[in-house]
Amino acid sequence: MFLLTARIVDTASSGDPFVVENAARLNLIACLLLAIQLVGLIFDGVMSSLPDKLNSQISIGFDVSASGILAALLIFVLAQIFRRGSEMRAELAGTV
Amino acid sequence: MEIIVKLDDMLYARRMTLTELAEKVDITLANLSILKTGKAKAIRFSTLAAVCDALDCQPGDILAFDGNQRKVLS
Repeated sequence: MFLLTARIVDTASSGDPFVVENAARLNLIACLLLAIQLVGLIFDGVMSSLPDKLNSQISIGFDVSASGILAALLIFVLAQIFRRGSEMRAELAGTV
Repeated sequence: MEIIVKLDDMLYARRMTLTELAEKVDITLANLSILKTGKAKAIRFSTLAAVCDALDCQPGDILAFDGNQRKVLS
């Protein structure tokens, strides 16, 4: 996810962030964020179904939150904005 | 069907080079080259007005419509 973000930042620093690849990268980041939330939900579900003795010995947890899900959804929206931006950029290319 | 750019002809008639035209109209040589070689997808009216002013001509002197393909299809 950090590599994807670094590649997006690279395109921005080179002067043209509105490329189709960035829309795809943002989509992937949003999917990964949602997957983390989903894994967290499943993990919490499994942990709560374990007997208390076993449960209390394991201290791993995931932070599942509405803000995490909202962040993923916002990044999906941002990906669509970048896709539209890259289409507009392509239309403008070749205009003198 | 397509729009043909006849900038070459008008530059020759006015004894002007593309570089000189670029300096006169404040458009980059790269963009004028794109226009001259027919690779431009669109032209702004401001660009067209500046080129016509510099070459003392009308848009029809540098642009033409070629509907040959349409005739073939009909």
